[in-house]
Amino acid sequence: MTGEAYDHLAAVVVLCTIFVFAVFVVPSLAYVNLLYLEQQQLRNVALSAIKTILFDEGYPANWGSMHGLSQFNQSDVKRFGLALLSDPSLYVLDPAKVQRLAYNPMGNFSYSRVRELLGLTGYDFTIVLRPQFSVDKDVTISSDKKSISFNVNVSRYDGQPVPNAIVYATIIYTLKGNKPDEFDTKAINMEKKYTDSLGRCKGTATIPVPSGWEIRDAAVIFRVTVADRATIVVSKQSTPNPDDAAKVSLVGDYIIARIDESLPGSKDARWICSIMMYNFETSINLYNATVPPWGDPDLQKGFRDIWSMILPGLSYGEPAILIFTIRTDIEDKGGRTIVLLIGPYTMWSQGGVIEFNPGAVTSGASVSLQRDVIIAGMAYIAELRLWKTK
Amino acid sequence: MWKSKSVKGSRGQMRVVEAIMASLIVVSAVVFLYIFTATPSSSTYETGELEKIGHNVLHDIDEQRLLARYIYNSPPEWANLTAALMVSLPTDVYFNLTVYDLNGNAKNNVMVSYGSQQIFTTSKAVASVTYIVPGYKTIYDPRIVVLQLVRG
Repeated sequence: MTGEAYDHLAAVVVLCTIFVFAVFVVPSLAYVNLLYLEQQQLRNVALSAIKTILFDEGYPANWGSMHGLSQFNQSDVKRFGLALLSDPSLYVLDPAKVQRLAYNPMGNFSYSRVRELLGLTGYDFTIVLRPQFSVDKDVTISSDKKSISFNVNVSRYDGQPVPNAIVYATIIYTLKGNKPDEFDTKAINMEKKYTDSLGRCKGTATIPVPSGWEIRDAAVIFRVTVADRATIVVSKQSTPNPDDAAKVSLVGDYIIARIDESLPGSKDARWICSIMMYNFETSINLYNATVPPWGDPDLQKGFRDIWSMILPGLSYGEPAILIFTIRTDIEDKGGRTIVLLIGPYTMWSQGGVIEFNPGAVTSGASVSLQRDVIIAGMAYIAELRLWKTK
Repeated sequence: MWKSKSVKGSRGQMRVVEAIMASLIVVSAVVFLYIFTATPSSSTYETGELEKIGHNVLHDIDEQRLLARYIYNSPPEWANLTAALMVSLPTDVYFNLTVYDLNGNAKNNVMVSYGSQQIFTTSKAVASVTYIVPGYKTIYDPRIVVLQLVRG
């Protein structure tokens, strides 16, 4: 009798084990395989998509700049691709096309339209374009308004510091005098500096400020090179917010500044005083109107919403950064002030990182592919994350 | 009476043994399938992607006219080549690079690598990319760059 009880108990244990195995282990093994299979399918789709995005020029081939000063119409684009027109090299992207991926005052692509053009119905994706290494930076004007200092921290995206990176800093600043229209914009190049073992470097520039004048605004362009792989970043003192003055676009050879109703004080008058262009090699003064009489405002809501200027051949100079000096009254009501504005807005609004459809992955399996690309002469990392729509 | 009880007990034990054997057959079938199924996570797919990344990075550095300079300069800029690869490759990818001449002699006397060397021998998914640099400036002196990549 006791032996039988043991037999039955053993049978129950064995049956339970088989039940657990059948219910939990076998499906989970199958699920893992299905997940792998789904990932592989996603990888094939992602490979095809990234190939189209990076190697195809799209149609029309100049779709990024074909609308000129008019608002961009995404339905005119029949095929999507970011490759630079007629460039024989692979992985070279057109800055005018890239600028259509993020918010652009002259119009940009919607996520649904790009998804449709890429044939990715049933999938979701994110495109990220970011510099090759991360550069954290800040700029401060001293309390006595006589000097400008900056801190830079260079690291890889996993947080590992990059020592011995060479940092070239160009400080652009505006000076304001006692009289209402007394101001000046200047630039100084700092001596090259190296990051320490923790990837940090800092510098201070004492500015020769005439008596009765003070530094009003400052921006610093950092050209950071690691083994001669260079990246450019720009940092500005946080107040006043330069985007409150206008938003700048670069479309082919056109420079466009636009004001919209959502900007604070959009009905206030703005005069564009100077434009400087920076790339890896050079800095060029593109426009200068710093001397009165000022005439009618260049930008004022309801009076003149868009200001533009064409500079033939500008796009061949591959301008990475445009610095505008704008005379406005957004800071002190009733009194003129001068602000520095960094453009193109799309490229620099998020510290040089462009994210198209940023968001979390919403399904179990996802793939991420990344490639090195060149935009306006600068090396970027292009990343495509793809997952199935839930 | 005693005999009949003993036969009954033996039959019960046999059923348990049968059940165990059946479950072992099921388990072994599943394990067998799991081991021998070519899952998409297998090394073939992973190395394919790493090869694409490796070729893309070497092409990009070469396109910026840096690769030849790193290799041919006197003295060669191996530290710069290491740093350039480190910032260009994804952060979870380890590499090991060797430069050969046409006779198969290694030209870099220092390691151009990132990550533990052990992983290159233990990993099942090591990708290898071969890239040829024909020369520098006006001198024809081909070098074969072999870049090994593995995900850490």
